[in-house]
Amino acid sequence: MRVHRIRLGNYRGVTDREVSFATDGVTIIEGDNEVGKTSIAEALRLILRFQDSSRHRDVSRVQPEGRDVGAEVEVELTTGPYRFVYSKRWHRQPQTTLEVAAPRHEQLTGRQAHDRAEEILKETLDEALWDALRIDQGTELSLPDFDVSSLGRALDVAAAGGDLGDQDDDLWNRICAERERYWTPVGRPRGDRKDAENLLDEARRHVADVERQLADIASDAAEVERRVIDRGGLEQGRDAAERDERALGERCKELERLEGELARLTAEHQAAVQKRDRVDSEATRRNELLQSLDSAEGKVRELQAAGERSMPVLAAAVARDTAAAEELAAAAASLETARVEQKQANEDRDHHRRLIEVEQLRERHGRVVEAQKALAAAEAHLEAARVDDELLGRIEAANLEVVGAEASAKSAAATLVVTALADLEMTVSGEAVELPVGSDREFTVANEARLTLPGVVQVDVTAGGGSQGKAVELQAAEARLAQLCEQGGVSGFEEARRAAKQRSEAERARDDATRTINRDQRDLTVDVLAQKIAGLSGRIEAYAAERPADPALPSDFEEAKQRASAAEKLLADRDSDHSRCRQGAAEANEALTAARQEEAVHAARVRDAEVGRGEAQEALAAARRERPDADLRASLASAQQALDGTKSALGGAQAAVEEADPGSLKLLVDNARAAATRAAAELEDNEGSLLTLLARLEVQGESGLHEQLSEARSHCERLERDQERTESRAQAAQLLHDTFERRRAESRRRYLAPFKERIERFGRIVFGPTFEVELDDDLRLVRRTLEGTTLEVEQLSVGAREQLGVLARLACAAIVSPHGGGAPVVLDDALGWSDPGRLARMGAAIAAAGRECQVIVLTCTPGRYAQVGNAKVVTLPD
Amino acid sequence: MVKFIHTADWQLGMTRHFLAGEAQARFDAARLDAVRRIGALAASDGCAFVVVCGDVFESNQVGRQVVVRALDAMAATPEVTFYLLPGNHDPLDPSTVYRSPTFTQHRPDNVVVLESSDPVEAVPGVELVPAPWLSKRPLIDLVAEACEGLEPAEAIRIVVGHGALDAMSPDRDNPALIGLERLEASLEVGVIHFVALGDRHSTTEVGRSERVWYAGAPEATDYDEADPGNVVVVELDGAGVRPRVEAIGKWRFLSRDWELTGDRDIERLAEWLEGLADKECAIVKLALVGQLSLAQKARLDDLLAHHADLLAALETWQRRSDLAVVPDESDIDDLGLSGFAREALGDLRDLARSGDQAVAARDALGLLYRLAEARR
Repeated sequence: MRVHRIRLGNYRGVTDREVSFATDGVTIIEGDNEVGKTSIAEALRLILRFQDSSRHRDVSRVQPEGRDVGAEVEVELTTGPYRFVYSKRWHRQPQTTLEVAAPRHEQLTGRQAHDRAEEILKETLDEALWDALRIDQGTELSLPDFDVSSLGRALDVAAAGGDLGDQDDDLWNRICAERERYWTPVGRPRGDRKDAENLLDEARRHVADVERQLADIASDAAEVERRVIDRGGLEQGRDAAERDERALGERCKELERLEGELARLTAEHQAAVQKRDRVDSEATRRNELLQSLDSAEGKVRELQAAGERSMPVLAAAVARDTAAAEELAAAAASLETARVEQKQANEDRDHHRRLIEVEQLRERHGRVVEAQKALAAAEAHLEAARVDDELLGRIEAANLEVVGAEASAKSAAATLVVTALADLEMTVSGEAVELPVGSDREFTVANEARLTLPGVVQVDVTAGGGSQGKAVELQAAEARLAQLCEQGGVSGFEEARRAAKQRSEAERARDDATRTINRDQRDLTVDVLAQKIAGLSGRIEAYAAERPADPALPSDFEEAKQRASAAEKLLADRDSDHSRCRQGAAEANEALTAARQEEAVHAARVRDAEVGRGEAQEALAAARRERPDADLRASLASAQQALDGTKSALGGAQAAVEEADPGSLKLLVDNARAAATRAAAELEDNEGSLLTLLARLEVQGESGLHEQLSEARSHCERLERDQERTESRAQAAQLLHDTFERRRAESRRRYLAPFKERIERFGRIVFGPTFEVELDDDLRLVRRTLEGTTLEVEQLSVGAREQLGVLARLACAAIVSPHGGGAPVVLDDALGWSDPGRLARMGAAIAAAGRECQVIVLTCTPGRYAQVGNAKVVTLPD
Repeated sequence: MVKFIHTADWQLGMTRHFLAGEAQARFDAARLDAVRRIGALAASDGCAFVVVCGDVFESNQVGRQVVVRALDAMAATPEVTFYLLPGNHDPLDPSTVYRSPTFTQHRPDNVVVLESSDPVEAVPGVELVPAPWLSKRPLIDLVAEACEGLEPAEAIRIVVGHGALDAMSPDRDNPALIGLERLEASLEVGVIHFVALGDRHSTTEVGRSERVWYAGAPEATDYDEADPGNVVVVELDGAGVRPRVEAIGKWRFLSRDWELTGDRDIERLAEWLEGLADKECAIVKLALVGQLSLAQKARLDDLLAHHADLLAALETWQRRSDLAVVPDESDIDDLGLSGFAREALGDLRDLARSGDQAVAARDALGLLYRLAEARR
């Protein structure tokens, strides 16, 4: 479709405006906001879609505000082979006219005009394409959906060079719909097919059920026949069993008789046995009496012999006891002696120990007394001596000052050297001085001095002022020293030092004494020591007086200790001897007691044995009086004979009973009785079963199972056929769909190449030679590559997406348009997001596309599309 | 001289799965009508009685409705006695229909069940020698056993039996086969005079004596029956036998093989179907083989759908049918497909030639044809 021109009258704010378009190329319509640019695109849409009588909201909106007039639109279009002028007025005096100029002239008005225009457009314009190629102002900047048939057709032409039928999409939709009748979108059978399968299963189960019932009837009938045959056999069996039972009953009676006889003979036999046993036991008792007499006599003899043998044993025990008692007495005496001796030795040893102790105590006492004396002396000295170390120090210091002052006075004083040229006698400062010839003497004049050679000369020497000061200092120092010495009670420094030394010696002596006292006194005082010495001396003297003379007192402590130790050892030996003897005496005494008891017991036994012998003799005599031995033997023989007779009779009776085989006979009788009972029960059971079966057959035979089965089978077969048909249809639909889908996808992929190539051709004008795009099977742009970097379309900026959208539309229109078909690309205020550089290049791309298709650009920014080289520019007035 | 009707194999209670509800009802009614017609024929033709040689009922387990209607149909001609012989479908076993309460309560006087092989005097001077089936699988020749020990007599003896004759059966080991030789020997010496048999649904005369017959079913029951739909009216006396076959039945089972390779064949099939008489009582089974184009198959489907409505039943014999539907060039041109649709069509044609998916592919082509046609 190409738009040649459009005229708007009373359309929104526009009273009358006509715009002509470049039919092959770009038309740019510029104008400020609200001057009606968008109205141009809108009007084109309205006139093609709505009848003049339409009350559609979109139509109502375009009526001019506040004016009672109808909006008018007139367009001149070329589409396919048609070229026509089409006009409409809405709202007021609606009107439609269509004037077709080519291919042949047609003039129509009203509804006819509208219908004819629609027919032409339907024939020549792909409405989806028309929608896809428009970018309306303010609409979503989405990428276009090019799943439109005219593009596909054009691309198919471009890709395969073949021609496409008109309505393949329609066929494809039908194929999809047919598949959906049988399959879910994910390829599972639809629910109704499963239901049919369930119904079929149910029908099959029903058939099986009825077949089973019929089989039951057949088996019941067979069982009836079998049981009728069984009946005869069972009756025979029962009769035979009853006959057996009777015959065995006879045998049982005979057996009972035999068993009675046996019982009688058994009783007789038992009586004979008892009698024999009685006599037999009497004979046995007689023998026992004889034997017990024998044994009683033997026992007496034996005991008497034993008594004689045991006499010497007793005598030996008495002797041993006496000896042991004597030995014990001797041991006790020895022990006592040893004990006395040991006591004496111990006391001697203690005596010697006390001697040593008193000597030591006396020494300690002496030392303590000495030390106390020394201590008293030292303390007296210390009391007198006043120069201690501290005072000595001060005296020393004062002394040093004096020496210093002297030296200092001496150096400051004038020195008077007198050399005797002859022996001289003179006075110096009142002191007489003799000076032999040739010697000299030096005088120090601290203050003033007078040398008088009596009679010869008097020389007064006066020292200078400094020397006099020094002299005064010296005097002061000497005075302090003197004072200190007086304090210490000494004459001078040397004496002070001696006094101090003596004092420290006294201190040392005091300390030594104190230590000695402490060491020797220890815990005792001097008095206590003295007391102890006195106490010990008393005891020593007393012991010496008391002690017997023999044995002699040991000479010293060592000997005493040895003697005490020897005495102790002897005592221990004696003690052990004594214990041993006491043990021996006890044992001997015990043995004697035992021997005496033995003797007594034996005597008692002998008496008992003699009594027993007497009793045995009496019992035997009594028994023989009762029944002499010969009588007893005869009775026993006759009882045994009677017993043998009954035993033989009993044996015969037992054999007869065994002959009759009572064990087996009992089993046979029981068995025959059980067999008869069982045969009767089986017969009864058989009859009962027959009745039950016949009753059941009667009931079931009439329930029409045969028809039920036929019906169920028919139903089942019908369902099977239906299912088979449905399944084969489902398979066919699936196969058809899959085959078409595969081929369709392949052809889609073929479409891609030319479309992609066209987008890239325009795109390289904008983005440069590295621009590439990737399309999916539905011809949608999915990825863009630039400078080797590939991005998903969603990742691109709004501007880049918008540019791609425009490029895709231009590419589409360029592909579709050469055959006079297609539709114009309408860009209403697009590319608002593009920077000036891109915008310029987009302009070039639009211009390039404009050579192949019609492009209409609406913009309120006049400069925006300045770079569209070959554009026709229409500027709308305000 | 005695005149009677020999019939058998009524198979009352039989259902046929290929008959939809309405057709099955008419089929049932037709077979009851046949019973009435037999009674009427006997009455009008002066027959003394009717012998029904086994398989009166399809099964011992038929419903009460079948039983009472059968008895009622026979009661319509009280002057005609029906002698019913238990056959292999309705043997006189413990589950037999003949001793069911329904049967015994509603049995009219003119219906007699031949319950044992004891001879029955049907009319004075005429003895029936029945060989009833007492179980589904007898282990002896029942007819031979029934005839055992018969001596020549004054009376005319009619053997009433059911089952396959040894002379006609391929199953030599079946112990229940009826020996033809002995029967013919007995016929020759005049111990027996006619052998009325059931089991075979086609009316058939057997052997050289003219006296051994299968009456056949009075109404057809299946496709494999050569000559069903008859009864035999027998006249018998010392001089000889005069059997006459009377057509009774109205229903037909028709089974045909058709080779279809083009429009001509479809036209011939259409003509044949068109020419069938009494279509509502015709049951047709077609085995279709050959190869058709999409358009021809569509035409065939229309034709079959039309006649399925007219006929009592029209079946396609799946087991013996092999009809390939392959689109030819004209089909494809008709469809006007292009582009990928044409390529997909090519794929399907390749698949349709052979292989696992050939059947599905043919169906898919048919479907494509239908969908493409529909959009025009």
